[in-house]
Amino acid sequence: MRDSDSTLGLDPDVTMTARPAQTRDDGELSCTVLVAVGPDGRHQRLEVGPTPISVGRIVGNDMVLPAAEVSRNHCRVALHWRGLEVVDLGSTNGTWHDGRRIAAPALLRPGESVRVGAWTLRCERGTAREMQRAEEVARELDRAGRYVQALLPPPILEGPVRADWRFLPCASIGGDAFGYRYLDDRHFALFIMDVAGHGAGSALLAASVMNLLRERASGPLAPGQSSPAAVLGTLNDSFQMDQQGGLFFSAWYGLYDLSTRRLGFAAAGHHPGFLCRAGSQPQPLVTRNPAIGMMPDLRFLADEVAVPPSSRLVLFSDGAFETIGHDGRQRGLADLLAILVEPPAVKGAELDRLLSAARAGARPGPFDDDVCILDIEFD
Amino acid sequence: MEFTVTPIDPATNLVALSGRMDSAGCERAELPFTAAVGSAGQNALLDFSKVEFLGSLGLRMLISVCRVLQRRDRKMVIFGAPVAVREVFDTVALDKMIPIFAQESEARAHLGL
Repeated sequence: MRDSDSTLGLDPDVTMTARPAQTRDDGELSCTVLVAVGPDGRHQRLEVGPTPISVGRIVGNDMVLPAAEVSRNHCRVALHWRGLEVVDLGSTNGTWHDGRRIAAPALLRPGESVRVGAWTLRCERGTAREMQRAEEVARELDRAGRYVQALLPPPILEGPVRADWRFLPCASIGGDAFGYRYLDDRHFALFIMDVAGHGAGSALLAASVMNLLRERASGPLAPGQSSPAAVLGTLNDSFQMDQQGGLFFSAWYGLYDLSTRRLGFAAAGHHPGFLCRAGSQPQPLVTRNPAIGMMPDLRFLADEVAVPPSSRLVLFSDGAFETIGHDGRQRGLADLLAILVEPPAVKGAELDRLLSAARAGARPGPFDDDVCILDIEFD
Repeated sequence: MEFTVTPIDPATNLVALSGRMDSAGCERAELPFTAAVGSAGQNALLDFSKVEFLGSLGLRMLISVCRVLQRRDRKMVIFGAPVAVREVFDTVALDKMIPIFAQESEARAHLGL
């Protein structure tokens, strides 16, 4: 096989030749780094020198990936003059490259990656300065992601409205966020949003929106100002994409009146939320509006629905269903909806069931986009 | 994603897009697309018939360029999108910003061609 094929096999041209310190044309030494990105989006970085590094679940490996699906001694990574060579060490769940389990040593060129359990292992190469900068950027992304996560509300486990969620940020931060809270004794507000972009800028925008909504919700409830259409209108006025670095976002906002059992809602560029009742098809709740920031001076369409006893509202971001599966097929909303119509799992396990379904519809390793699932239960 | 730009009259370019307009595709194509379509100062007639997937970054790219064209008093028009892509257009109500047609002839007529 030639170098166009990443499987090294028996090709003498690509037999391991470690050149730990290559010199670029500009005279700077280049180094090669193995970057592991975990299911929570966090990074580990390790420069690969002349001695191969071991990757596995237990302490004693050079890089430890603490997850059950990673074998104790999972794979070995060695320097190659074109990048990194990865050898699976007979792991239980395999090392995957381009959707295929590797059976022979695999070459990773800079920018390419393999998947080990829910982790992605990526090869990066550059000068020491470039690698240092990349490490700083990764740290900044981690910080930005943690900041957004710190703003997420804790689950509400008791009371007439209960709320719980699962959130898996992707490595580059997809700009998902959500929130919920009682505005007063009678009104419960909730939202989910998804910024059209990745990175620290998306996280900053998500955090700004969350803070704005929190600030509005902390004041007295002014009639009309907390209606879903009014809230989306305010967001649209405040976050026009021209003033937000070209970023806009989709949002779904709901306001539940506990005394009337009616849920007002409005979606802006967002797919439906689903109102689920035992024995009935999930009811899609959506209104057709542009995403927030796309166009100025919009009046948003809203709607409302009666909430039957013992029903639940499920909201999720597109990262939960816009995935490419093991078979290479593009998944869509209909795939996740097919899971949603099945009888719910035992109490408390529904979110994990939906998250497992989302994971099953994607290739192994971290998701390419933030995944966020919100479950609101009504008495 | 890939795209080609073909002038079809002094004021209009036909832009044929293909492939996946996902984050990987758009990160590569955003700058050249913006330069070729947004900065050209021409109406843009976008052929979506070979677009396989449209994600949020693809939408952002389209909307950003459309706003550039609108500021220059130029138009962007879309035609030929497959069903899955039309569903994305519908979710974000894109037709409130960009006219969307099933057939090329309708899109051309909208531009007076």
